[in-house]
Amino acid sequence: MKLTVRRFECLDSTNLYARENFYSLSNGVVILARTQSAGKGRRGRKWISPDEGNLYFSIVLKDDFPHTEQVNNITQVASIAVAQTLEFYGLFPSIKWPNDVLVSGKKVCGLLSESVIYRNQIQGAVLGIGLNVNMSLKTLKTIDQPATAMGIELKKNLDPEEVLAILLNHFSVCYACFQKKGFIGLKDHWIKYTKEWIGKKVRVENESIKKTGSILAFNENGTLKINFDDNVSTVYDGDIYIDK
Amino acid sequence: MNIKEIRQILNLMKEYEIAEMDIEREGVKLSVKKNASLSAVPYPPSMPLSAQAAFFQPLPVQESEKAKSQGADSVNKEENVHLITAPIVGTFYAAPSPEASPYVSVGTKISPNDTVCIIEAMKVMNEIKAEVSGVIESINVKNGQIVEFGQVLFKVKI
Repeated sequence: MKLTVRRFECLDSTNLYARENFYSLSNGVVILARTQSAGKGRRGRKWISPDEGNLYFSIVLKDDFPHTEQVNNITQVASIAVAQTLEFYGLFPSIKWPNDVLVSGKKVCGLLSESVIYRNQIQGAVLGIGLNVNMSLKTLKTIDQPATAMGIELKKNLDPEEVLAILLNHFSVCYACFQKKGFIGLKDHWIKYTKEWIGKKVRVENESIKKTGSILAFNENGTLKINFDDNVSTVYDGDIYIDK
Repeated sequence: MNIKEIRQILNLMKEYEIAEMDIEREGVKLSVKKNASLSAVPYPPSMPLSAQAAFFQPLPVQESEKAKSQGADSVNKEENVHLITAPIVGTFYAAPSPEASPYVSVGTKISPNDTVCIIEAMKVMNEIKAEVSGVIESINVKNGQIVEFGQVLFKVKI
């Protein structure tokens, strides 16, 4: 897939722009903003997006998905590409299900994808990526969960354009494999970055569940299999936290 | 070999659950293979199970079968009623955020471009549009409920 970057100084949200212009944008267009005035996270949460040399961008994906539910794996595919990029810079990333990329146990990247549906058919999706590259400690302290940035971990400032190029390159390779083989084609990479979670006792939280259980496995469609006290369930969404 | 005979062959394959068949008769060669994409397996089934790591597991087939049968049930038989069904498996959310008001309630007038709910799976937000004009007659699922492919979410009086 050919990825073409369109640069903006400031957008309210790169995902919003890409979604509003979905039908006029080509497959593989990357909407990049130096800063976002209303960066979005999951379920109405905010993504703090100062102009400090971070990456905020959304990729327009208009390809057919051979199996509709594959659209749900897009952020996981991207999380692997982000982890590979961090590794390229000498960091040791891990992925917290479903797609939070962590370094030293702190979140360094957020991913949010929004599909576009027409007549009950997935037309494509907008994949949003926010990667903390050169975020200041002062700004990091304003985030409501443990967070870090590549520059802080490496103790030097990085060129965001170089990070972007490397990340898009990894994403292209991962996405091509995903299109060809499905999420299972990325199994080895996924396991590499998530294996530390298997067997861990975790708290699962979403708007309908707040339960504790241990992670049994990842299903081949990327969902989570958890052994709760009373039963084994598949978890489709929400956040997991180590149960202390 | 005519169409009638081919139909009979296809019916026999279905009846005896034969996945692939090659027939050669009177100089005509017929090769029939059941289409994998019609199968209920969520991903290409070519990957042998033995190649998967122990903690990367296939979904039980019955889950997909259930989804398939529910999809078939969603065919609307009532007049002037449109059913909005789930195009994907995930968690049904009636509002854009936990603190926000629901997109629609019973009695809400809707237009085709109005968002009626979100179905979320693994941080992929699937925003569902009304795609018809009408009035919400019933909401058939609860906030936070897991919905299957084809499950009826709303009934709309059109």
